[in-house]
Amino acid sequence: MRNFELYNPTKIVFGNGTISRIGEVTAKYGKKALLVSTRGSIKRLGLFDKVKKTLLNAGVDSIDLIGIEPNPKLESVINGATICKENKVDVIVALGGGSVIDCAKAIAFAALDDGDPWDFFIKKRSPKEDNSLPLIAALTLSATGSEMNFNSVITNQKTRQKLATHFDMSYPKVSIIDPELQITIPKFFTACGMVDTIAHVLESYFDGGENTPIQDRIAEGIVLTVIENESVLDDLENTANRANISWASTLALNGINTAGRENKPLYAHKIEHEIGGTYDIIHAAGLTPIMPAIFEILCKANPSKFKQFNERVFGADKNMDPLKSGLEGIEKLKQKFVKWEMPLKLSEAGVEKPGLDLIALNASKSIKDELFSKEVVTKILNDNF
Amino acid sequence: MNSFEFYNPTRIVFGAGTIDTVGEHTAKYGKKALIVTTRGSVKKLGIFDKVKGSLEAQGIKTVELSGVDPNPRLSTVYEGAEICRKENIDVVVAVGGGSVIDCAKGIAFAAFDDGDIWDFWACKRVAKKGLPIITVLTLSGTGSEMNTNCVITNTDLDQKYSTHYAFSFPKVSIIDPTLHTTVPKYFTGCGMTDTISHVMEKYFDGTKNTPMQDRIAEGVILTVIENEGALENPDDVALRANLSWAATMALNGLNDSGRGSNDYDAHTIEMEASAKYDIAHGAGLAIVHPAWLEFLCKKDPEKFVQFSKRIFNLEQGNMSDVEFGLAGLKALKDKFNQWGMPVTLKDAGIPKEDLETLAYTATQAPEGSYLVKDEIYNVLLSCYE
Repeated sequence: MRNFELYNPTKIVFGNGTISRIGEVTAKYGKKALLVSTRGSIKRLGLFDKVKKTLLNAGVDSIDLIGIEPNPKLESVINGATICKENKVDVIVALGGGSVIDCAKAIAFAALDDGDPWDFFIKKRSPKEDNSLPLIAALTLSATGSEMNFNSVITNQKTRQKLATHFDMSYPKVSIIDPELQITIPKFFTACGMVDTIAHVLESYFDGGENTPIQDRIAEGIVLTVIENESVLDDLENTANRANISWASTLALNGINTAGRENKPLYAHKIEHEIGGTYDIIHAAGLTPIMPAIFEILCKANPSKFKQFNERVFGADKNMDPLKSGLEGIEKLKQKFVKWEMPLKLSEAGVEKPGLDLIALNASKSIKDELFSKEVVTKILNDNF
Repeated sequence: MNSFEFYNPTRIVFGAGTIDTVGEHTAKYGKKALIVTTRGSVKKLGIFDKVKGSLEAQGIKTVELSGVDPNPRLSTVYEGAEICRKENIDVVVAVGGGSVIDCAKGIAFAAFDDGDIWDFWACKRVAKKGLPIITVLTLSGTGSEMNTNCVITNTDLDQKYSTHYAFSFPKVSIIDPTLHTTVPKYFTGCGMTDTISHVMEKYFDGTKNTPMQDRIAEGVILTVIENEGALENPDDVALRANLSWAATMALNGLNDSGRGSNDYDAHTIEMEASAKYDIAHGAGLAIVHPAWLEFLCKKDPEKFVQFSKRIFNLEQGNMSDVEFGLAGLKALKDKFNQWGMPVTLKDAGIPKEDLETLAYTATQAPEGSYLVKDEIYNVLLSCYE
């Protein structure tokens, strides 16, 4: 186990019906809110109006910023920050999934800064400590874990970059996780969330570090919880399954799984971010085609953790040959993706061939690991195209 | 799963050598610190001097309170609070195990009150604020380094109660496993028992549909068992690190989230015994907790079946669910015994004629109001010899 720091001050309010507390929770942080959300289903289902009304009943006026898209854009951040400055907004309320929450985090710090917010993503400047508006999140799609971490991933379409910031001030003050809000999520997006959750823990779990028994049990617990609740895909309105998957998803990226690990680059995420920067695809749909191939390379280099994975998650026999067992575990994981109807080819996810070379180049530059040179990444992309 | 709130803002600084960062972390909270510690080993081993040196190197003035006993006394809290007021203390630095940290938490809020402070433990008054607390953990077990619990013994009334204020979360807790290598075998065993006991209190509370929480609880228990080698190899920092981190995770709220509202019943029962006979908390739990669980298992064995399978890999065969559950508890008792823990109240020196009174006082505790005296008496009797 490596030395580590763990800090996570987000308060979680979890359970069916807890969305009704959004007004009371937000009112502690101000009287004027920017309500950040997507254009689509949230408005249609009346949730947006309900939240607005609950805020108003608690004495909080809200200004709408709707239209945040998957892979949130720098333009939305700048636009949101301008609204905050012009209207003296006190608090940001994010109503949505990871894209909305990530975007809201960036708006929250951009609102108190006069320069170009992209500077923070390319590390040209660091923001002042605690120089951010407070953020309240109401989660409508479990996947990214953004509701309980400080990650903000933003896409700059001009430079074709998808980059993240990680500031202590970006932890949401409060995140409301109401599993009932998730019963309307279609099957495909539910599966995407499940994949994203598993990907978050496994990328760190397979980082080659040793002596991390409690972290491993937590990671395996998250993967097992997702798998054991997969019936939600055929029973979308089951709030018990939704609740278990939601909580597993939040714990997957709130720091407890990574504490004490090696903190190497998340290879699949790095490559997917390059893909996502070029092609506007769904994050998880970009992960499932490439993640098994990446794990196979890691397994061949050192199979011991993959063997443990196959034993503890899929019940494999402990006497199996390590490499054979490890590869079998990866294959079983892949079969889960198939069962959940996730794409296993990049072309199915909406990626086009011409961009692959540049994606491979940028990804290998950002990973900086000899196991994943440009040639290797190119092969992974082509093999799974 | 029940609705819940989760909030834990303590910053954990974990790893070998992290003790040297205490000054730098404390400096953010003030210029004058009260160092709270025990009489014995912390000073002998030079840990105290290291902490003091680190604080002074940051220009922090220090005052010392070094008489904290196991099962910390209300009188020590009064003493510390008085020093804080007289010396204008900004921040309380606890150097020790759970007793010292609990005592420091009590001092931190008692410093703002000059009335009868036992009111806060007896739930007669509510404290409003506390001084910031930094901890340097020298003995893992209670989890106090990452929670709000503050258990204090009032020797005049033979009562041992706890407060749970949000401001009692330590600001920073330094967990340096190299400091734990000098903990004697018996107290290491007590800490391991305490850790397991903490997760079991909630694991067996009868709440349905808590798969994620169960995996965390089981992960904590398995990690402790798999690192029991620390009892024979006290200098093994890797084993110590795993035991420490499991202990912290056992009582930081993660395992409790979404479970029932019972208040650590075996602890409530045990605390009455350890308050009166001054036995080590972990040792008392090793006796009382399995007996309490046998009582619960006979009422509803479902979770006990899972426990026997997942923790001890037992085969159910022809056993009924109750028998199978009890077999798991037998395996647990054997573990405690193997770790050198006492197995009967008689071993711990508690007279048989006192059991009736112990059972009664447990039902009088603020957190034991729903316990049934005759049931407690029978549980105590079942582990008497």
